Amino acid sequence: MHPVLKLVAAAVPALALGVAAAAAEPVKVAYLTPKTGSMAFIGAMYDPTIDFVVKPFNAAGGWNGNPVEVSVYDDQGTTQGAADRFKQAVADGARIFIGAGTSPLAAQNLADIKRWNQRNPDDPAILLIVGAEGVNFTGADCSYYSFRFTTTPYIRQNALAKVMKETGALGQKVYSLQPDYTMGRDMEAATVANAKTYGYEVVGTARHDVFKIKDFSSFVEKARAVAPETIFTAGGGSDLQLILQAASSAGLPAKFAGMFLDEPGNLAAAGPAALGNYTAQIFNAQAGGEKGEAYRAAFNAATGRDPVAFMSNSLITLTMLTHAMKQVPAAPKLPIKALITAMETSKTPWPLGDLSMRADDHQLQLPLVVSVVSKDAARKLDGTDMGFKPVKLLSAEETSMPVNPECKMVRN
Amino acid sequence: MSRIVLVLLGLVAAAALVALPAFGGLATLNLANKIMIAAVFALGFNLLWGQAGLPSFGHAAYYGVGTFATIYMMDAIDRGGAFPTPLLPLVGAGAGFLFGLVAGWFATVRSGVYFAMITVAIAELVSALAQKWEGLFGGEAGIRSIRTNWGPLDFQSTGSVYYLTLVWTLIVLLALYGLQRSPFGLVVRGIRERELRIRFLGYDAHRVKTVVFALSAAVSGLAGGLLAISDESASMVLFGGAGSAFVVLNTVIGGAGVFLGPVIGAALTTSFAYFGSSLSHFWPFYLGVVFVVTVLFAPEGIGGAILARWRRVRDGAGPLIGLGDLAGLAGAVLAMAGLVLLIELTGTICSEAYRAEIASLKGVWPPVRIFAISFAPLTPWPWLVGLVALIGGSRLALGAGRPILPRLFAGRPGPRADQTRPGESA
Repeated sequence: MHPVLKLVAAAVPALALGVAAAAAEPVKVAYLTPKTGSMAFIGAMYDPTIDFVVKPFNAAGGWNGNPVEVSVYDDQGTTQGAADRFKQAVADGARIFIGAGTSPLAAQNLADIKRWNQRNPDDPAILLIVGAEGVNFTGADCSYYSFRFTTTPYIRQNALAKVMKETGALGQKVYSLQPDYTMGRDMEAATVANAKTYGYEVVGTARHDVFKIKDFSSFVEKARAVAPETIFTAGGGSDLQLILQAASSAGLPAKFAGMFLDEPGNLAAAGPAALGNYTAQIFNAQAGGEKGEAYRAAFNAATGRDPVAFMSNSLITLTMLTHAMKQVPAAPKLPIKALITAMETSKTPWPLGDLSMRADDHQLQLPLVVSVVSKDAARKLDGTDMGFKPVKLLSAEETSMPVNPECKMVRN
Repeated sequence: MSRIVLVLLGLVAAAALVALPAFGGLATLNLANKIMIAAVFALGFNLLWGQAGLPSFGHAAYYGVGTFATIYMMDAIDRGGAFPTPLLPLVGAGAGFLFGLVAGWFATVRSGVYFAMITVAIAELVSALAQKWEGLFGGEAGIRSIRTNWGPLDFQSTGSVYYLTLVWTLIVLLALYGLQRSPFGLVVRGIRERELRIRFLGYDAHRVKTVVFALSAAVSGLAGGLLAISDESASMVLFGGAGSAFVVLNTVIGGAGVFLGPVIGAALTTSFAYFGSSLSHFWPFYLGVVFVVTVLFAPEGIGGAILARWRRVRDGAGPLIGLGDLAGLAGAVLAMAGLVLLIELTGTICSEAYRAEIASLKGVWPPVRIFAISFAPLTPWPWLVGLVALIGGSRLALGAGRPILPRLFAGRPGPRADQTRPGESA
């Protein structure tokens, strides 16, 4: 062949490919999360999860040849910022929103989505809530257009109490020490509500201000007076570290059972005081056996770290979103209602067992791992000699809680 | 500059403001709304600080109370109440006024630092209350409502909210300007300058201060009401310290001594936060640098600098822009570029995303792209360039001991040691 012809022969398919690629309209996804301000650590945690899921999905053709384009919008950790970023993202053409902040931020996102849909019924938007555990999102505020990809304090407390009862770690006397905001109050209500089911007595409850108290010894002494065997807490961050240290230095014999012990840095900060305490985890590689270990290794190879705490929720959200997209047939524009149906009906594989989205209230049905902080854990965390040793892996059926009667979903 | 030019400029600005919804997108209109809301809030704050010399560091409380009150009224309208939607900001203003009357009576017993501490305490009190009283403040989820149309007026689009906010902003501007020029405004400024003398003239200084405090809280509450209309929701986050801090920032950067100063400051920082947050995650740092530079070299703020420059041109004392100004400006830009380079480099290589990239490239540090140029972070060159630009630019701007920057902003030669900032005189 003539060299020029050769060149043309090579260029034509390349050009055709280029045209095809240009014609493929990206599916825009807005990832709303705090990247600045006092909650910037939340956004930093989610960063590596996006590419890990979306890159291979796009490499495999995306949604019928259209790549998924995830843009991170910084809501600055404020509700006003969240409202502003929503308007910006909608103007940019996004109709799929991932709300990866705290409960107030998710509530703002949900309100924005609901009003957008009310005013633009032919061009609806959906919200995927990554980490907000407020009961209202699948209760009074449940919506056809919003999905929750994490647990509630009820689900976590139930899982903890169930496993600790089975292994005999729970005991008869239970105490509730909660941060005084919505999640803590829910955890307290869950602890009280489950007393009969798991045969324990709630010997006392206390609430503390969030991120304001530096010395928890008075709380520890108050608990010691009623001699509990297990203390449930929804506390996180520095509160949890200080509580564990205060309890340890005062020699309080009770175990703590919580939900946020596996946030990055907590084990290192609490030190040996963390040993023997229980937590309900979304992901634990050791509990997932070979599959779990393979997933952890793949994530570590791509991002340089293991998935912990709410990073797993972001991975679940993106995995389920892309999995549901595969089931939506080609169209000029991604049909949101077909995506909702796909989300409700498909089962998504996950190293710890299948994930699904309950259609009645859009609450994720997921396996949970109840773990104990131990020196025998397969993987040590935060540069300590401690890690989370799985006690039991509960399947999605076992962790499931009944639909909140306050949820009256209007399906349209 | 003659009066005709000013009138013409005003007309052009008015036409641009009225026509904005015709060519501005959704995001632009929302930004304009947020700027006006921040401006009204800052104007309310400055009534207390600039005029009465009382520095309040807890003004988010009155702003938040206004937002919540307005949301409750919106809800009442939605459920069939007869209150007209366009007058909703008055609900926020009323709530702010009543709360300000009580809080102000206590706070203004003292002045200066003690006054500031009382305002912080009251704001913390409200913030703690909002966290615990879930029934009223909606807990973490907050409370929501929706705008209802009123008669022939439609309030569903962002454009309609824009016009409503614009009208209310102008009303507040005129009212505050009138107040400043009224005999009452004179007494208020008298209290700022020498409270004892005002008392000897027969005025009840405490009562005047309480009223000013309440009026300032009312304007802040009105801003909160406008926010409620724009965002249709309120949550306890509004009562956090960030709101109280931002309004101080806006006023200082814009200039507390100039009537329109807070408006300028609000426009700048709100746009900065709006665009900056999508350009760089370090925008609060840059905003902090701007704040420090303003306090150090132009304590009268941007508004003060513009006013001084305008006076100088009017008196024929100097040109609008001199050669020294240009050199200073070039130096400032150079220093800023150097600073941005250093900060972005450091920030990027410390980020999770970069760590992930290193991991996926098996330990190779990929180049960092800043200003559309690739920099290799492991070589000393980008760091050297950044440092040289920062130091050289600063030296040029400050004119090696002969500060150009202060002159650039203040519009007069040499630093001014004689000026007192509002709040210091008390």
